[in-house]
Amino acid sequence: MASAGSGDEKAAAAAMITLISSDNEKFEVTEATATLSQTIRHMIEDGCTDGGVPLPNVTSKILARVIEYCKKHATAAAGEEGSSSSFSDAAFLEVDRAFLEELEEFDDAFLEVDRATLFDLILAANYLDIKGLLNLTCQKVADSVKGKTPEQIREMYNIVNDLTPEEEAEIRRETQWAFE
Amino acid sequence: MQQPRPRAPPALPDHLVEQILLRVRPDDPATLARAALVCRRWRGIVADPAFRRGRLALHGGAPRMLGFLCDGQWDGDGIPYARFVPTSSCVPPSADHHGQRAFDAHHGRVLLHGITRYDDLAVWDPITDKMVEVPRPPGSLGDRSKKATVLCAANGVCDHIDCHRGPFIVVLVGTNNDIVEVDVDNDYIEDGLDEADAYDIMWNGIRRIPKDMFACIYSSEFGSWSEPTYAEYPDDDVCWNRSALVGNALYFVLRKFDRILKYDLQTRKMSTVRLPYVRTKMIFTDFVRIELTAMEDGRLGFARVEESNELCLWSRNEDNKVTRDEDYKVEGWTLYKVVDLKKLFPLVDSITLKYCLVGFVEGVCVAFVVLENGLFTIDMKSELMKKVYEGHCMSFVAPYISFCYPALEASSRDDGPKVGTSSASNA
Repeated sequence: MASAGSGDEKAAAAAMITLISSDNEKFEVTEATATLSQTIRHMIEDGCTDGGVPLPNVTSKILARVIEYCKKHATAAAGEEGSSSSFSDAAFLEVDRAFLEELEEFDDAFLEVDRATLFDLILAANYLDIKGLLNLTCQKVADSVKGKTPEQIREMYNIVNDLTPEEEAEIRRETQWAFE
Repeated sequence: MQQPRPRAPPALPDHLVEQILLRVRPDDPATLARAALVCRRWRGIVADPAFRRGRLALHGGAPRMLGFLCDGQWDGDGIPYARFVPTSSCVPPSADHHGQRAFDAHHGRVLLHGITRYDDLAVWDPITDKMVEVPRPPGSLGDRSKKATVLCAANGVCDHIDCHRGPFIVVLVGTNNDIVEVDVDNDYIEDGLDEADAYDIMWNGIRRIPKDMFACIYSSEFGSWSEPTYAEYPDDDVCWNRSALVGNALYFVLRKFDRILKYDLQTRKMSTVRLPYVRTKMIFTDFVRIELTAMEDGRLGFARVEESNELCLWSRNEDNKVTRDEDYKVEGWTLYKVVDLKKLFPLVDSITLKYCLVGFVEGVCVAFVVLENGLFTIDMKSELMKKVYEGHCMSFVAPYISFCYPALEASSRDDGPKVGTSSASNA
């Protein structure tokens, strides 16, 4: 049972998928990497990946970064599965912790990008339906607005204030406790 | 489709802005309030009830401790008062309540009482800073001892997530009494009077002879107090420690600390519950202060410092029929967690540690202890302590637990398209 499962996995890992960015650049990735995207997973299931998967909403620059993320997280997922059978519980926890730490470090470094790229990544993660990446990037933006004034947030993310002074005054009145 | 200018972040559709704002940390409601001021779209997202539900789903439904009330702060004239100390980004516009002291806090509301009169009650909402005065309870009730607490009026059906603006009830319990004059020189006065009785006799020349226990409820919806219900005097009086709400019952601390008073909100009946004996090697032991709490699993619990400076958390367990565990009576209770205070505070003397407990946070295993140099929280699970306040003379600490949330009229989301372009293409 277990050996059959790992055999399947090997077969899956060997299968390659071609992703095509909006600017027509081609990326070869393993199926394990590509299927972190639910959108691509569904395409594979529907059998419409022959000749490459066109991704008209994602530029090559962003797609390269997304693939970098998927590769790392796909490896981590595979590593975790493998380790559960070949280590004792304590050793497994130790390995697990090391994996998580490494992954966290990777994520932190991955997020060291400018705001425009960060937003592009959010859009791509949403389009490709990669839950982990969407969570990671949205959390980064959420943390970046902590303690910022509304003016600073607008400036950071290129947002025009369309609230009337009356509306603003009303919101301030309703949320007095936040402006002390 | 978005056509971003170079380096300017592309515009995000509403549902992605929502994904971002959902992830603003739950202990930082102020950032959410400021986000509502960014633009109309953002305001609309924050004000949407669906967004509120999304935050609950993501961060868990349990309200958090946004701050706590320190009762017994002293002002310049040495008069005690209540102060709100924030532990989150929710900072009430008025923190200090001179002339008032804290009685209790539940469901996002704080019950304050006047310094001189226990029945000058007011309910304060720290988030909206609204203070509602409560009419005095029926004057016929005795003044031997009283304790009151405030609850959401819809207890039992409400999730208490955003009810702090809604109707409330105030539950008042106490000892009904007659007053007789005492001639200190000639009347027979027995030994072993408690402090309050002795004070009355010595300084006021009166005795408050207990008749029975009373309980009555004020409803903000009806604007009036209910008829009191009575129960047999349990030979003990309620004291000012916080009450605990477990299911449909309120529990109050009694002065001798060997029993607690249970008040059933449904039947309006009162009864007492015996506490386990203090674990001690000594033959005689004085009674040690307890702090009631509702445990994570919804059971009743209480904390107390027992022998050798152990901070003990007991949990109500009616299945426990073991009447004796070694030498201590424990029926109906289980010792849930023990933290060695000496280990946490090796330099503090035993007497200070024995009387350091001043509060407990319901729902989590966190105790408030006061030492010479300030107020600390002790997480009994991780055994981590943290200084949360620099100050003295705190007699009592009530955690303020709520789900602070920018209260905006959910109207303006209709101003713009609800979903953006890319979500349409995603679907």
